[in-house]
Amino acid sequence: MDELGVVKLAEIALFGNVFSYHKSMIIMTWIVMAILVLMAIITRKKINLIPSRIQSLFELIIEFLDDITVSTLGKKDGRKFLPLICAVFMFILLSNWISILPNIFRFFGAVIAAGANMFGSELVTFTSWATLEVDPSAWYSFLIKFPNIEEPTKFLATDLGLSIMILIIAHTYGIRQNGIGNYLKGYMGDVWPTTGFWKFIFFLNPFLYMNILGEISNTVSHAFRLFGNIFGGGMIVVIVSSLIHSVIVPVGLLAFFGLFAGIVQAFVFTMLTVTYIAQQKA
Amino acid sequence: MEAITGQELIRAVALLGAGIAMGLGAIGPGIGEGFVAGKACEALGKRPDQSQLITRTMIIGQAISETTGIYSLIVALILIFVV
Amino acid sequence: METITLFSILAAGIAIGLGAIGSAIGEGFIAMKAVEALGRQPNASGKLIRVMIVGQAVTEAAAIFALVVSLILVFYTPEAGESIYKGYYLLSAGLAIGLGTIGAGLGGGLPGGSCMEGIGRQPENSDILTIQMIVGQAVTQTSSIFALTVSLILLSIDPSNDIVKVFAVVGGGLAMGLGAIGPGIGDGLVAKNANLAVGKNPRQMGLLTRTMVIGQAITETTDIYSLVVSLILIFVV
Repeated sequence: MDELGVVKLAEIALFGNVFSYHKSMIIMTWIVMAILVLMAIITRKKINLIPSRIQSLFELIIEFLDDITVSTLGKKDGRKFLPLICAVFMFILLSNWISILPNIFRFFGAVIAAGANMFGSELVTFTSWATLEVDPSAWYSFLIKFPNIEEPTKFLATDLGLSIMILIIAHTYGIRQNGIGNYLKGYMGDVWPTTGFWKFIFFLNPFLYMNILGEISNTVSHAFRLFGNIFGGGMIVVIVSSLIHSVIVPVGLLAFFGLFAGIVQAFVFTMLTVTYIAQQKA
Repeated sequence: MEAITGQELIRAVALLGAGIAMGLGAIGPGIGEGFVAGKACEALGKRPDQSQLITRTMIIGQAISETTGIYSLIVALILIFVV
Repeated sequence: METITLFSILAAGIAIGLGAIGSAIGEGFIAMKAVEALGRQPNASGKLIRVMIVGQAVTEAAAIFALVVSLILVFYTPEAGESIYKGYYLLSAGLAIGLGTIGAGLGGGLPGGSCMEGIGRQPENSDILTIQMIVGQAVTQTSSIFALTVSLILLSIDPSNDIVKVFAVVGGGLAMGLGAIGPGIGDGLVAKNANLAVGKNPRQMGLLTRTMVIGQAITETTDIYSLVVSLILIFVV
């Protein structure tokens, strides 16, 4: 169960401060982004009236999200936010799905190591019958050390980053839509009068603090919902694999937590994004 | 196990109380919000043309039902960080 | 050493004893509605039984989570010289998963039951009702997944030697366990009514699934507060 407790942090010193970041998260986020950009470029190149397979896949996603945004935000604003919504959905979906890819580097490394052990190599030691340790001087040790393929959404930083981005976008939209005065008035609730003397003691209004706390808790719950589901799902797969000593990869569990829960949570996150933006409209 | 002194005991029980406060406080809003959304789905099945109105009312109703959950959260955070 | 084993066995009992309640009632509810529907539509028995088994399997997930934790706890072997406080961590893990799966089990049963009702009324809608049921049940399992996460974290971290911390950890387990009951049942209620509405008006399935998922996501908010408080109690305090 070591995979759960160990957090591998890399540190960089910048302007006298030390920033630490999660190596695997950064690498996997870049891989996800690279795949998305590549797919977009390939599709863009041979766009056609008779859609190819990949084009029809993207058309399916975009049509589905277009229906949701246009029916919630209206035609003009819905189309304006559609690229954002599509990007959020596809990034989270691919992030959630990427962990079902097997780590072939480590697999080939283990195969080579097992073969070397069979021919009497001193560099490989089997700690139990299914786990092995490789001396770092062996040429294939880099394959064993290849970072885990993990979902970027498994890390709280990615989820909080996304939800804070959406908080800022939604509120900027709200201020633009209603003007700063009406936007601030929205926080006062319907009961507290906003004229004359009452204006100067606005800070006594209990609804003000409730509303501000409500907005903060929206953002926190937005991030933690995705984090908890993906992190929990990944944890279950790891635990069950370690209980059965990784003899069989738990295919059913991966299908449920990787594919199915992944798409449901990506959809939930996207729907809530649309809802939070739409709430600022009124 | 070493003995626990007065001030530590208060801190320890406050932390335990924070857990119980959030735990029990989450039961009611959970069921209540479920009722709201469930009935909203039922209404949508009957009047799909009013989906905008029903969804908006559902979200507002749930936000208000959740108020007691937020109270529990505040009390729990006060017990953890202030007491 | 013996004290930790004592605690781990006690926690294993609590985990599976409480964790089985919800799923058992939920699955019984699905079977009850299936029998009721069979009385109305004996010709659709093949479809009904197939969907019933699918629904019960997803509802079972909550109890399986509790079983996994319980098995880990039963076979827990304390390391030599491990702090006695680890026992409280194990107890807290058992409480979190045991209490936390009650809601998801009960909640998973509700959409299954209403799906049976819908198929009993109109067997030709069985495909879309099954999809709707599985989506609803999958989102309902969120609360038990959170409980499992907290429980597994509690099992794997090293205990602290501070007695105040022990109280905090037990509080964290209770927060997650109790906090998952309500949202689990609430999610189930949402999915149940959405399934009923789809059974009556299958053409509006897209709209209803969308609304159901938003409704369930907002219902889970208090569950997420519990998760946050629990993680603060475990890691920050």
